[in-house]
Amino acid sequence: MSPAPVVLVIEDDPDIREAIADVLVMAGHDVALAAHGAEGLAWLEAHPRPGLILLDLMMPVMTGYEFLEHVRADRRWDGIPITLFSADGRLDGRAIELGVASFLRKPIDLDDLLAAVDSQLGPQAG
Amino acid sequence: MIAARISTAIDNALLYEDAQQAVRARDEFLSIASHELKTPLTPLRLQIQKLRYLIRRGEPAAVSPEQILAAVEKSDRQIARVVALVEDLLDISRITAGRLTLHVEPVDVAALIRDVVERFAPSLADAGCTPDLSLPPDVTIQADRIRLDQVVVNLITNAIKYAPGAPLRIRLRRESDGGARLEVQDQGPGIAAADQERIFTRFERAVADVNKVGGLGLGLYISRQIAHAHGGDLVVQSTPGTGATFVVVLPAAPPVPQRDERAPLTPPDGQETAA
Repeated sequence: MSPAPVVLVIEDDPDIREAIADVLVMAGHDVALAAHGAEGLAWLEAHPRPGLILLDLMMPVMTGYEFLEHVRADRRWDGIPITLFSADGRLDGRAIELGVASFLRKPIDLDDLLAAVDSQLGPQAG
Repeated sequence: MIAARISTAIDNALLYEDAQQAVRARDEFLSIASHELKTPLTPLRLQIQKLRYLIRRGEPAAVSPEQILAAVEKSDRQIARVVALVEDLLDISRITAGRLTLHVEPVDVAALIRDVVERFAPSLADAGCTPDLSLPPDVTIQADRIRLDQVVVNLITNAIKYAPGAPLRIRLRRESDGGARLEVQDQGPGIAAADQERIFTRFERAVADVNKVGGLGLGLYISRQIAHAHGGDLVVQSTPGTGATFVVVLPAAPPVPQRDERAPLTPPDGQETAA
């Protein structure tokens, strides 16, 4: 049996990162964490493909937009679903334009977060 | 006659441009402020909804007291973040209206700095910033303890944000006039000469890309206004590539405020002074 797909959470705010990891683990998902886009890319290089990437936009070192550009430019990461989150409400409805699976608006709602993850990975036995 | 009309037209165009710029600055600030206020709300909301989720799962022992306590403590921390952001916004309002009031008392500056460094020890450790302190014990000035604490917190959190992974030198010195000189020296990317005044204006940051650094961009502006209210100053000395040194100079006591029709009156006990 292959291992459960991992959710890679890329978010610079440690409190948000920890809260998202908490609830995903509670719901039975395996989680990996990165503090910015460059750490996320390093994680991708070193591990098997994740089942989903949860990506913040405003981050130090490498923003979510820059991370998206790198991932789009590298065929190895084709097809990994990405869910964006941001406090910027102007991004509502731009998920398709940005080529991502979905968009979550901060402050993130737990049911929306679990629905976004379950839609890609399916519910886990938590 | 024609010259006067041209002059009026130019004045109007300049006023229009100023007004447009003010509107753009206000819109950008509102966007940044709403982003910053929403940031602590995500962990706050998720902690509370997590408890609800666990309780709804229904088993009698679905939620342990330890889980409840952890969630409540994490939530409380986020509420403190929101409160701090709102306080910064209120400070801007107070400063703009000339209502920044100092509650002056003798302050042992070295003890105050040591206290802030201890409070921020976990954040400094997380950022890889080892504090290197030089704090002589004989520097006591008349100042507003809470406001001075705010200045030191701003300078330390700035270093954590912009200069992680390098030692942070904090030097205190007693000046010949009985005042205090505090230097906070980081080893970050430094600040170009052209930006060294800009970073002390409202809503500005030391980096061009606002997607890379969060925060309201108010810390240095508020800190400098606090230094000015004490009759002192806050400046930066920096060469790009070699870090930055923020220097706070404070006199032995704040100046006696001048009564001014535009400023609020000093309370009668004389222990307070308005900026």
